[in-house]
Amino acid sequence: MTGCFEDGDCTTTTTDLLKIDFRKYESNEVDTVEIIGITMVGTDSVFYPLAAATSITLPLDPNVTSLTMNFDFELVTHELVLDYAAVPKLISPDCGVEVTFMNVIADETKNDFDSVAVRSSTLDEEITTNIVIYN
Amino acid sequence: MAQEGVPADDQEEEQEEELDTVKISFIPKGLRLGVDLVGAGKTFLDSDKTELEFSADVELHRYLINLEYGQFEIARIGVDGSSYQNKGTYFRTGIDINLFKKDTDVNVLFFGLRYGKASFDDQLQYQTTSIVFGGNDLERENVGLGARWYEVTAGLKLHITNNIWLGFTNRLKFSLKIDDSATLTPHDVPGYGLASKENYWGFNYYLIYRIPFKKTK
Repeated sequence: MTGCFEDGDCTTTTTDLLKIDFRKYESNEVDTVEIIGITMVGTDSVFYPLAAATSITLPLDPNVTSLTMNFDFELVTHELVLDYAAVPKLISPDCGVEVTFMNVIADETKNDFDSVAVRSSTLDEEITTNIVIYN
Repeated sequence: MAQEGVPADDQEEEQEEELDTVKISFIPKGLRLGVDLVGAGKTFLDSDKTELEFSADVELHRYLINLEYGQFEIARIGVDGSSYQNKGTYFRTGIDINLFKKDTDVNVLFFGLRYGKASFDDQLQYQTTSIVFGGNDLERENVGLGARWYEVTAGLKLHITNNIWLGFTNRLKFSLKIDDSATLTPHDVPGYGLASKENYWGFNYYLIYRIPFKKTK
């Protein structure tokens, strides 16, 4: 077999950033939440979103397939557990490896938000919303 | 033989019509066995690559029933220190039509169709780079992953001497489908080429030995 190899274009739209929107459970309207901080298992980092946020963006861990996030609100802390696959691909020897986060699932039994809906289970720069949290 | 009551000109015309009657036979006339010289050369010259392909075809009138089998192995190093290995086998089967109508040397100018199927294992060793979660050395693999595709082929097989033929095949490969994998996205598909390509062009150059089933006139 002889094929013409074309060096791949190294540009990619994959991302490790998960986009979360907040909505009100009863009306499905955009919800503005005040989050003191967000912590995640696997890192000591604490994420401080804007004082009043309608959406946030958080990174997923490429080393594991399940991630627990703790959202500290003023009066309560809610937990969000996400299962996913971090699937690597060699783009080309000249480009190296890219990792695509896909099959994102919100485990209903472990989440204590009123409801969590997955709008897009694959992380991509061109996707505006992956998860909607109803509270 | 003259016939009573039939004009002589008409009798000759009838005899000519009988002589021109062609008998089509689908009894196999021969078996051709070939080895791809391009793949063999690459295997010999590149220690990181194995591409061995064998072919067989049987002639039925102007049609050739084809079967091709190959073994493929490759190792690639990424600029980011990643390492990819792929090893598998594939086969193609299909039919060609010989555009030479009558050739005593049984040369073949053909076009045809193929169905291809591959089974392979691949592995990727790579490093994750996360500013938040840190980096790790990871390995992912697929075992027994399958793929299938279709081809349109065209080529030539020419008689060189005795039972030896030389031939080439151009292939346009398309409609690749790889089994789903949530572990590792393959880079190569044995027998097809790069997994990311919707269409792929291929070329084989065969050294062929023909086993005749009966003497060709």
